[in-house]
Amino acid sequence: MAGYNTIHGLKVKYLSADPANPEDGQVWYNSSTGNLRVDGIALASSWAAGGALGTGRNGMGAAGVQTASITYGGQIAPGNASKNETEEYNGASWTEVGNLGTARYVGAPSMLGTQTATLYAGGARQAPDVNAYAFTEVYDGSSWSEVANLGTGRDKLAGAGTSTAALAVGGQSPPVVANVEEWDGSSWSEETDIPAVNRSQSGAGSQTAALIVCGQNPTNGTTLEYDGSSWTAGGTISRSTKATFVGIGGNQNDATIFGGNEPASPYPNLTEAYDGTSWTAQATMATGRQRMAQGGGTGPAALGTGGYANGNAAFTGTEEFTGAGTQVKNLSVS
Amino acid sequence: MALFIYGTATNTGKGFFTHEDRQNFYLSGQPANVWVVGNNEKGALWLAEKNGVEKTKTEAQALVTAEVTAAQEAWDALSDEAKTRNDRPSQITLP
Repeated sequence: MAGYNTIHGLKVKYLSADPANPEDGQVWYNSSTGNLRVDGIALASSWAAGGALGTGRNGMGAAGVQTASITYGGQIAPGNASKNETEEYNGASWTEVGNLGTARYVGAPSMLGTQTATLYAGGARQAPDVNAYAFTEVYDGSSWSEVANLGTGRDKLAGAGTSTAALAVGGQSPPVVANVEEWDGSSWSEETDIPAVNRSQSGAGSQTAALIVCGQNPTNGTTLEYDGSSWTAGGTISRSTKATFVGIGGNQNDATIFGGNEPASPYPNLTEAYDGTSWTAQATMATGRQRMAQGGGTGPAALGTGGYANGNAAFTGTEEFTGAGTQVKNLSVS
Repeated sequence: MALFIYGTATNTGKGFFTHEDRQNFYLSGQPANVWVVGNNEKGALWLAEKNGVEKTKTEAQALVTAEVTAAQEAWDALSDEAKTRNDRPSQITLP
């Protein structure tokens, strides 16, 4: 029988540990574990359970990465009081930290903010107050402080950027607006509007390379990309263009959207990934939800936090997304 | 053989289901802590390990319907303004 070196032209390396950066298809023998190993086995995307929130809620803002995230604000049920709780995630459990100054939900987070530097702009009050907030607060890792207000107060708006260079897009004041404002670390300035009014859309990316998807306005349901001065159409998502409040994480050329709300149907558990050109279906979440925390993860490592599950507006569950990739596995020989 | 197993189990957070679980069997969380699990050996083992209580499909559907109905009744009691801000929950038919 032909040996591996005859077939492949190489000998199998005898190593005491797995190599640091194996190439796809590389085979070696790990003498410590006694396993023949191979790299490059295709791994499908999937969602796994993360730690449960201390306070279940929907419509929160968020920032950070899957292993160092922060979520804030929210609402526990339609018609009930908004929340000001802030919780930090370490990849396994959530810990309550300093509260927002003003309780609210469905505001705009700085989507690329971090666990120690994030911004929350606008947001909804609670019925019967219908006018949205213009407040902006910045978190420094321990407490929130009030900074300059948005020019146009609104809720159900999308956010992008960091705590010092953010973007606030569309929303509802009421009425539904197309306004776009940029934050430079000290004040908001009015910039180029999105092509049509929209609310309940989701944002990702930076102030100069932002991505806006979905929303209530059916004529504006395709992907929008911003370059810091103008808006252009991006790839078309495959699901309903009326999907609202989808979860999102990532950048303009590497984003993941999940869950959301579609008219007259249970909340979907669909997931799609964007590569800057087109959207591709991914593994579904275990529990479909809308109004999960906006932000708090990346495209290939997104975080689905809390939200409004079917029949439960104060869902505590968290799911962690791992995008498709390759992995190292043992080879079985017989 | 039926495609799914039905049961109730409390999501205990991190590790309740893993990426490997999701690769090995279908899993769908529903209201009232109902889980729809792919009917294979690993799916059945997962439900047992999570101290799940197996239900018939009819029992599981009744639990889900009751929780969504309660949420619908709560929505129906909202003010008109609050209703415009939140959609009425939709009933779910288990697969």
